[in-house]
Amino acid sequence: MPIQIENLCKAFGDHQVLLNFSAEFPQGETTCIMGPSGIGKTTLLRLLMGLEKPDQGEILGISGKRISAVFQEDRLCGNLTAAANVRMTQRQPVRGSREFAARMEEGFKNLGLEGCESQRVWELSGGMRRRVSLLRALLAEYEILFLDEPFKGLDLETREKTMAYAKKMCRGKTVICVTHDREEALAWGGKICLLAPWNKDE
Amino acid sequence: MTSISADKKKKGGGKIRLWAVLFWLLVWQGASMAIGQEILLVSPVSVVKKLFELVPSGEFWSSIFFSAVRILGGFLLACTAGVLLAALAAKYKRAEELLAPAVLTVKAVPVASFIILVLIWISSRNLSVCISFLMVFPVIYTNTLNGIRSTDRGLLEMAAVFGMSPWVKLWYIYVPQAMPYFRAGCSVALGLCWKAGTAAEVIGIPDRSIGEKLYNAKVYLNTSELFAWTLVIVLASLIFEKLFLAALDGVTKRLERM
Repeated sequence: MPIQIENLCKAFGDHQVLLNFSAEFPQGETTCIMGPSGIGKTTLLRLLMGLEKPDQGEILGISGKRISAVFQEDRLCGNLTAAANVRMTQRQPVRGSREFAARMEEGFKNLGLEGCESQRVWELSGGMRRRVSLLRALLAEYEILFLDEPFKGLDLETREKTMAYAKKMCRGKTVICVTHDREEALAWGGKICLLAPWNKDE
Repeated sequence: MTSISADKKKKGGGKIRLWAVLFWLLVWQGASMAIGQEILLVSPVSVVKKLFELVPSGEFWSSIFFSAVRILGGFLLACTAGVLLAALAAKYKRAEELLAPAVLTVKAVPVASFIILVLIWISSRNLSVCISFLMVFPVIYTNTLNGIRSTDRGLLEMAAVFGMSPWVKLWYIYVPQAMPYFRAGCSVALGLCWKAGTAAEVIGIPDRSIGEKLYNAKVYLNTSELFAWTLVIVLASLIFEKLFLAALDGVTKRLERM
């Protein structure tokens, strides 16, 4: 079932962010949400994740599904190790399964994070933290993945490598990605949803 | 009693230097020699001599054991109650409202009033458990509650999105975030519980306690013994503080490396 958004309205005080926004995001594909800063992309993502309640309108096709996310900020536990941060979404985060350990090792390697597993997150650079945050989201059990500028702060080469791994990992899954970068949106190869003033889906 | 900020321990403002200790010992020795009456101000040398006389006796160790078990028992009970009730207060506003007058009362009532009141209700043998508990509980409760409240909202949202279980949230988000506050509270409370616990024993005079020894030293104007037992209390308080905080740091490190 696709994600259907019908006449969504959201305001913060006097500031109307979304007004009668409707869209449909296909299941098992990637949709990139683009638009200028402050247009409401992150608010839309937060509404979809259930972190904000809409003033009006309906969101269908998400309820009851397992979701995973990369937030605008890294949202990692700074004093825990990178591996603990990645493992924390698992049902048994302390012991973890062998299969998960192997996937995690491969993930760290593919994202150029070898040797960082047992380092505390606050010891890592901004770019490394971003990749740890992405790895956590990709290795979690999910049906829908929300990404809010997942490659923010990465250099071109790292970005390409990370993008290739992310695309491989979420093939066949429903992905909603917020980005400013046109090339990145095209590289995902799915639908592009452009938010314009008053948020009419184009 | 106010809440102790988590970053306080990072600042090394109150570091003890050996030269400064030696300076004050010399001032003490000089003052004692100038007064010339050991009964008024005993010299540090006499205190150390007295301590060496006390240490080999079995009674010395049994007094320390008697007081330490009760004072630290009260401390551990207060830690458990403080953490559990802080968690409850953080979750339910009504629980916080209900606890607020009780915590404020315990903070405001002088320790001497508590000691006399509690002596009416329970035997003097267990007085220090109760007084230690009453002194430690508000510090641990307030600090832990502030620690839980300071938990990053972003991390809690992340946990909600990933559908983490309450145990995982507790272990990975709440405990690491509240631990520095709890540690700072323990550091202050460990000193407090020894001070208040022995003060209670001086008033209640339970047999074979440090308080009883202090009381007897005062009655017989045995100033050197009074100072020697005071030194024992200071050392016991410092040793237990270091041991407890080292154990807590060990747990925190294990948690971080998990």
